[in-house]
Amino acid sequence: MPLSDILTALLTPLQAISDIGHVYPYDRIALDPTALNGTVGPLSTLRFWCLSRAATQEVWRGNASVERLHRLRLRGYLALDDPQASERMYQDLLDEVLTTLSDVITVPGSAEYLTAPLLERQEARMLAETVPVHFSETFVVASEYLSVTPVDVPGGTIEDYRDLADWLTAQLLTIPAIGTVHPYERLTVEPDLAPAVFGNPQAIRAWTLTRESVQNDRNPGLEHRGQERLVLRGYLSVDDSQASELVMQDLLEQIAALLRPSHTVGTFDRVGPLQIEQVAHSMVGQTHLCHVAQCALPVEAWALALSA
Amino acid sequence: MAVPPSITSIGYLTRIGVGEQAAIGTPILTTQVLPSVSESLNDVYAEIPDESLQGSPIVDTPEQGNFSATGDMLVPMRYLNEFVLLKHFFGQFATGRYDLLPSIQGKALTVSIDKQVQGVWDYTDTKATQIVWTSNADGVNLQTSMIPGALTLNSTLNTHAHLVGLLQDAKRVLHHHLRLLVGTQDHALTHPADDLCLSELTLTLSRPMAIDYTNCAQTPMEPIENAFLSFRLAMTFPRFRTEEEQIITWRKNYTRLQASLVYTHPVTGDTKTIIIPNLVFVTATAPTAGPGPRVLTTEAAISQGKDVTTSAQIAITATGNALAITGGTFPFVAAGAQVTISGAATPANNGTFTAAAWTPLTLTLATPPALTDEAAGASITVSVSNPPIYMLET
Repeated sequence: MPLSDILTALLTPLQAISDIGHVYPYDRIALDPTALNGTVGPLSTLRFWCLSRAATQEVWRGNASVERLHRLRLRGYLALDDPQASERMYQDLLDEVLTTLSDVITVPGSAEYLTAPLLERQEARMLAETVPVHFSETFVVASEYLSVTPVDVPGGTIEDYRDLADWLTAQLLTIPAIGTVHPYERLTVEPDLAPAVFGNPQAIRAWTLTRESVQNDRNPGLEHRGQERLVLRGYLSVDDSQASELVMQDLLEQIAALLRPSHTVGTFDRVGPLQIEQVAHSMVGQTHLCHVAQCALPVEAWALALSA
Repeated sequence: MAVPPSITSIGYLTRIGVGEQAAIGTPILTTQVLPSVSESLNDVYAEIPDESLQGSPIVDTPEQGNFSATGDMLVPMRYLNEFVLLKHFFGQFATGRYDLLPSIQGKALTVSIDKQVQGVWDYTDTKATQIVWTSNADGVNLQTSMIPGALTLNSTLNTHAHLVGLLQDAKRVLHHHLRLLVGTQDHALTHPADDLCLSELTLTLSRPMAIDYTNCAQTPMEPIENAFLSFRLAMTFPRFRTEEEQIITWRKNYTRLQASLVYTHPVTGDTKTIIIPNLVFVTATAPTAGPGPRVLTTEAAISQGKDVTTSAQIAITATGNALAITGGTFPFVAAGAQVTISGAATPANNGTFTAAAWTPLTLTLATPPALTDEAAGASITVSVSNPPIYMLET
């Protein structure tokens, strides 16, 4: 898959940097830093990096091609040890990291080009409110260019938002192991999430769909244009030992690929492409640590206004 | 004195109808409503100053002179069949096919615009002198340049109520509905072998016309073509890749090509297909404009493709009404092209025909007239004149 190939093309030279520590192709997440103790190194000498996809913008570039702009994020962690001038050590490592990332310009077959790295943040922070670390976030954008042939979409009776949400739900449910898909936002104030909503509280895997905004425009003379913003949110229980973030990222890739060719659906002239706006983690219901993803699906339709 | 209710002309409420006149000088009830993005028909009266008896540094009130009202109309394309603007510009329409006539003399449109103030404005004897078909991420739009012959305010023929009754809908033609096929003229275009992906195209069809006036007439005579019809196709490809490198070779070698622009609605299956049997790339540039990927920008000239083949190895068969050639190939022939046969031993096989189908080895002609069986042997000359462009719809 191009995204994983791009990540590998960045990981391999990063891992070759001497003294860089561990470099992982996904975010390592734990509520308790002791869970990371030993996994990513003793807490007192933590030194690890996590590369993952933070977002993907998708743009139709032609009648049969899309460009996917993956915003890739490298997070770095180094145990803070001021007497040993750990900040200087960290800055030296960052120099090496930035140089290494700069050297990757293309990934043949997967990424047309990568932008130069952008170090957006370098600071000292408490990891999980317990372990002081130097922390940084560096971003690169990788462009993936795909040929796409729009496909015929059966079901010309899809005429309103409810129809479209039901159609999208049915499409998503064709993805193996996607979990539960709800055609509407599920809201609960119960601390223990209802299994019927999100599934087993220890293994949440659910998606909800909602419409966040609608903008209607009138063109001069009868034509009416509607633009809707649909939002798909995904929740997946964090299981760091099983690299659960990779599962979430893979599901997102499958969803984007599934919806991409379905450009006209029923009376909706343009559906998509899917924008993966955020891949992160959060405490769902303040009790369950989950990977969360937010995707936007722009929808556009034109019709003749019927006013007299 | 009672103050009449104030009316403000609002673009949202504008309705534009078009209809094909049966004759110049006779306005007609419009038959098709056009969702419009903009119109800029601008009626102007020239001034005739009195310069002979002034005797003063200040002129008298000039007389009102010739009327003209050129302007453009921008319309989003829809899968509406028998699209009146296109029928008029092409000049001929039959069974889902728009064919380009050399002249549209005697043909005109009535364009009715409900501007609310002064009611419906009828622009009669209107001729389309240029259409520009643009296709990009914003959609597919048709810009038509027009020359109206006269203007009637507060039309009693095309009223607001009539235009409301014309309300009709069809799905929009959008860029992602497009399949672009471009290839050399030695084969029939096929998907996906001849597919190209492009981010934008502009097809410009110009029919230059002269605007002339007779003495004492304020409105112009019917505008008539006064120069060659010209056709250009500008295309922008989102990437300059090895998949598009052939275009550079075609441009360098001035290779004669054919193209099909096929728009198919993914849900309804409606189609609009533009066939260009003969074009050559005249520009193809991919400048460096930034750190990212290069974009390929091209322009192709469209013209009438004419070819002649002479061979003694052409057999004619009545079954299928076709010619078959061995030891050579027929030149490229688009459906509907004019084919002239001479030199056949059977006199009935000589003459001018219309092409129905083509492969490099077989040329099928429309009936009537019917061909007669004739074995190869006579030196037969096949002359082909392809139309520069035509359009199909289903």
